[in-house]
Amino acid sequence: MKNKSITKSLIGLVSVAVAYVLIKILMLPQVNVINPFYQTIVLKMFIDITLALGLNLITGITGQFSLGHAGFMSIGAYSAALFVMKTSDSLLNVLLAALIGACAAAFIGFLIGIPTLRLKGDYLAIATLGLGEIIRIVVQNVDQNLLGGAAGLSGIPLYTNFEVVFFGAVITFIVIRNLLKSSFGRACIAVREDEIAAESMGINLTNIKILAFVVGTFFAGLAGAMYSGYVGVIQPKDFGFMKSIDILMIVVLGGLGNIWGTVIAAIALNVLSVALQDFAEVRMIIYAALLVLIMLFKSGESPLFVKLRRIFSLPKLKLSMFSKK
Amino acid sequence: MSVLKVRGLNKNFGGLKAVSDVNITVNQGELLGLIGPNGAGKTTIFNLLTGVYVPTTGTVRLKDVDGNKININGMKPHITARHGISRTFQNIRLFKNLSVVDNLKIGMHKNIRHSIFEAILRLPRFIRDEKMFEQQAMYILSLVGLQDKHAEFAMNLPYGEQRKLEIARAIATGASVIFLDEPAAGMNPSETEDLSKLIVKLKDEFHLTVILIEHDMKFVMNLCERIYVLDFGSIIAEGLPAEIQSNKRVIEAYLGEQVE
Repeated sequence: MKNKSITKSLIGLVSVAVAYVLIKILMLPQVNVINPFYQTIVLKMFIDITLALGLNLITGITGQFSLGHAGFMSIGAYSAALFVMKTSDSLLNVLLAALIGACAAAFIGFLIGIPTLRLKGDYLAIATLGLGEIIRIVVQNVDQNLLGGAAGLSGIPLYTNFEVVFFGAVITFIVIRNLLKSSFGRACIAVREDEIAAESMGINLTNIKILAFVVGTFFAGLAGAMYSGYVGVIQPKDFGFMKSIDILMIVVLGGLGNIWGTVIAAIALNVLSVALQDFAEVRMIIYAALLVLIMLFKSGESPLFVKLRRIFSLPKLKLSMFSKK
Repeated sequence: MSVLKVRGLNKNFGGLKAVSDVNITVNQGELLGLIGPNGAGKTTIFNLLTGVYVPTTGTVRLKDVDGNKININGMKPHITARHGISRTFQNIRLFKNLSVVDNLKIGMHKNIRHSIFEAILRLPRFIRDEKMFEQQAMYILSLVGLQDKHAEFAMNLPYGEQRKLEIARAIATGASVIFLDEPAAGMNPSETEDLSKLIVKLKDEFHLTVILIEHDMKFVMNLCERIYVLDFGSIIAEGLPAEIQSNKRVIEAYLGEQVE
């Protein structure tokens, strides 16, 4: 059994290395498959993966609906940006900034989690939505000299390169995966599946929910730190409600609780939005319509292809029309 | 030697007295039955003793796994679970999207000795705990006859096996006192027969004290050593199965008064 897990982690390590080398080769000026414009998309994609994996732990695995993820991202973004601007953008400082951003978000997540995680379902969603907005408005109005108010912070050194986002996302993935496949991960799933049963089995609901929330917001902060070094200008309005919805969309599209699904969905949605950029006016309409279609096919328990077959098979269609079920 | 002592237990829901002045003594290693007509308050008593509800008044004294006597009334379910109380549910509450063996491991989560960082970094203490959980879980599964289905999702098991899995999960917590809420509900006579053998086997294997609610009278009378009868929230009779069967008040509670 131990050998098996070692082989597995070796395979994982090798595939990460292969992915890294492959993307690097595609980015080379001589190959130019991923040109500088696409490179920015690739960076955004990895930031999205980090964000969505964190939210997946909270919403998908532990079942606590959160609509305030962008708020925690902004905490990470602002604290990391401030740190780098006050010091320098040497590698050590960038790593420190990422850590500070992540920890700041996790700390606020902890404070906010204690009261809000008593709520369930829709109520929790509304509460986190409100808290996300509160974070945004506080950032906008507190200490204009330090945080720049509505205009935000500009002139942040562009410290985020491909390596930063790639390894940021890989570390996030490994941590979430290891957590999921441990006793803590099972406890998180148990809380999602049945709170009463989980509690009767000796699981402290509050602790597990706060744990998931803190880890999730930690990675939101990390993603925020990577984001501010990627865009160079951050404004409170970048971290509004719509950003939270964007992240949630990735998680839902990839499947709640499915971490590989989250990665694939983050890639797919970014590719989709690039592919649609030639249709400037109708772009958002097509994008939205595609999302509706994907959700229609994806919803329920059967895999996509089973559903397609069911929908397009005539005999079954007729049968279902006449049978009373 | 009593392992659980309930004194003057009351529970009101608004104006409704769901449980009134209940006294129950459970001896170590006993197989105790709790019966009564529908709505008598049996499940409410289970919920009070396991911490799902807080009693309005009354005390529940438990001799925990280490032999210390403590008051557990008003404690939350996850705390009572830590003191060695576990249960099954009337309407099965398994973790449907987890495998059979993982369902058992959740019962063991409270016994972990590693921190979350050790789990993320896969340090030796995490691996040792996981190995121990796996062995224990597989052993319990082999006793209830589910070892071949350990990788199956809990929701894919047939009904009778889901019931067994719930019992196995309750045992996996390492509890010394186990509450079974209608374990034989929906089972046919031969399944019920198997179940009572299984309960006796598990009780002896793990030195359990078992308290069960059941409507199947044949099952209760054959299996239980002592029986409490509940009606409208109060205990109306207590005794050996044979005594209960001939008790006039019990017959009245189930069948109504005889017309003169």
